Amino acid sequence: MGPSLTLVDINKRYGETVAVDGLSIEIRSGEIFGLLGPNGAGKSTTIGVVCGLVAADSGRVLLDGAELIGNRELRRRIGYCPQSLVLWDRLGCLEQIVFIARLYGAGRAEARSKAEELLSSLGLADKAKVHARKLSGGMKRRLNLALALANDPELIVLDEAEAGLDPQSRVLVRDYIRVLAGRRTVLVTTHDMDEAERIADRIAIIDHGKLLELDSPSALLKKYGEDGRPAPDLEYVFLKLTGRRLRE
Amino acid sequence: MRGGDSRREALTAALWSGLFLRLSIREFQIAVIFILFPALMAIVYSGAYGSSSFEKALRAIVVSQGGAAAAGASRGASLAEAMRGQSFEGEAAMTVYESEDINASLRALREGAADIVIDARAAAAAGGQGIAAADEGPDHILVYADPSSPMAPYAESFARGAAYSAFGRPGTVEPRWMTSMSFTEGSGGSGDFLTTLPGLFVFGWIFGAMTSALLAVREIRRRTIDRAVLAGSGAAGIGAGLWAAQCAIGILQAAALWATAAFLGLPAPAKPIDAILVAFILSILMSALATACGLATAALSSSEGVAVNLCMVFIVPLVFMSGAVFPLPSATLFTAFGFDFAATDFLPTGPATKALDLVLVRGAGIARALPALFLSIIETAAWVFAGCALFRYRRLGGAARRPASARRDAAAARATNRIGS
Repeated sequence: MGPSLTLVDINKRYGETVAVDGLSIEIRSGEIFGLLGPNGAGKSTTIGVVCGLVAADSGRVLLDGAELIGNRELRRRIGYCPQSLVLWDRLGCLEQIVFIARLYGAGRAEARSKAEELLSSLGLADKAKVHARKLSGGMKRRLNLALALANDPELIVLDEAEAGLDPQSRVLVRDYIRVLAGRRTVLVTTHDMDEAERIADRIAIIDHGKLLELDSPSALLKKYGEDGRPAPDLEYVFLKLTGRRLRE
Repeated sequence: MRGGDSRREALTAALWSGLFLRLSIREFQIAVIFILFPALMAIVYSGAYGSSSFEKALRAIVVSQGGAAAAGASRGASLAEAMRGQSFEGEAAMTVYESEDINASLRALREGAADIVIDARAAAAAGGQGIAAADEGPDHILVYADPSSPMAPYAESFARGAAYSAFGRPGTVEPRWMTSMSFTEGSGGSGDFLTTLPGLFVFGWIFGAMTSALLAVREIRRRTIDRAVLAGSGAAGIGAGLWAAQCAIGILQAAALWATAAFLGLPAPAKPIDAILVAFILSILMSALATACGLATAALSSSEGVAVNLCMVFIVPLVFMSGAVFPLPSATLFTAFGFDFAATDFLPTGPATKALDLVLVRGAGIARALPALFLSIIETAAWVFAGCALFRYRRLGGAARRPASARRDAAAARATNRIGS
């Protein structure tokens, strides 16, 4: 079973800009949790704090009740798939995954076996030796995800993991995430309401760094419906909570 | 550091080293430019300054008249003997040949087989060489050399000292003997190449700062370094990996340069094992310095373009203001522990060049290079510490810092537990 993740009163400012404003969320063990918000809502900063890539001004992050911030050992239980492609252009797909797995302490054979398994699961088996710069956009996205899973993480953090994928790849990735869930906890950020509705057990909607709503997709649809009928979709709920004003 | 941590850091360094080396080699321009560039510079220098002669020591020919009874022969022999007694850093300052044939000696000078010819014949001064008749006498000597040749001033200086001890008259402020210089353009050995060669090694190693900076900036810009942070890699592991990769490149670079110089005529050093050992130590040391400069550059650069320009801030003083490539006047600032310290000694590349020059060009053993090596190690350590600290602070700081509130909470929790127990 994946670990629980608790964010307690996280605050982060960049100069005058408040990125995260007293955010507290509890993500249950083994669930797929969707973090939704418009551009600049504080999703990526929150994820950065969870992964230890951004230093929060205050607050605590607990993994299974243990303080995560500043704890190298606990941080190694996280797998992070960033929104941007974080790849080595001149390394083959297999080399990249093996390198990451070995950084996490896997032996040579174990790392190679893990890499082959991931490449196969994400439809990249025949590209094992191809350098990342020669892959298509969708393949790069899948390799990006594979690198996040190279350490067999207990908490998987996916920042817009499905962005830029064609429908076939999106289904493949979504199914793979579902397979992973349960044994692992998954935190997903996305702009895609359909994706969130399909994949997430519970959803938090944040804006200006504050939590606006947190519940299961069906409960949110019911809560924000009108005239006794549920809301038509999550996008409707999202716009109702965050407004229609364009963001930077 | 605990045993497990140090093992992990060592493994991390080894993994990063392999990664950086693969990335360097797969990038054609990095591999070719950085490995072969010093060797190409050696070819350019040899073309510019000539490589027909690679004598290590200064070479002087003393010409005297034949016949032991002749005054010129006696004077020449005394002068030659006194010149052989001149020493520099405990070793003979020059190789002295004696000849009776002024024309053959001057031919040797013009062909670069000698750096200076000293005519000590009695008739030399009277031979219409511009010395006043009143000054004529047995103590006149005539020096043939090209004053612009890098070796001639040294040779002349030693010759003057020798002449003073051979002919100096006690009780006089100026010795009665006189030297006059006959300008012999283009003569003398090709000392520029030898003077510059150790600096080319150092230049090549320090140029690695650019490779290091480019590799590190790419990691930061593409955020691949975030994956390392998540995996628990610290600045030490990444820096050590970069250093190890840089060492491999530096050793290849030095081997290519040495082979090229040997092909161009550089003789084998007098103590080859010592020379190889010092070159090996310096390639590791200077690679560490280059890595530190690369990390410092990467800590301050937002792109590869900025990094290329910014790393010149480190390369230019380390190479051009340390006397590595262009010898600078060695003005002694102070003397300590029996050693003279010049301004150039305070950049690690200065003593590094000096150490390599001693074993590679002057034929000294490693023992004589140790003080310079030691000084370079100390100074390099300071640069490495500063470079890694800057990189850690600027690029890995977010992961290393814990919010103050979390520390306060933890301290409060610990206090509560103590009270409770």
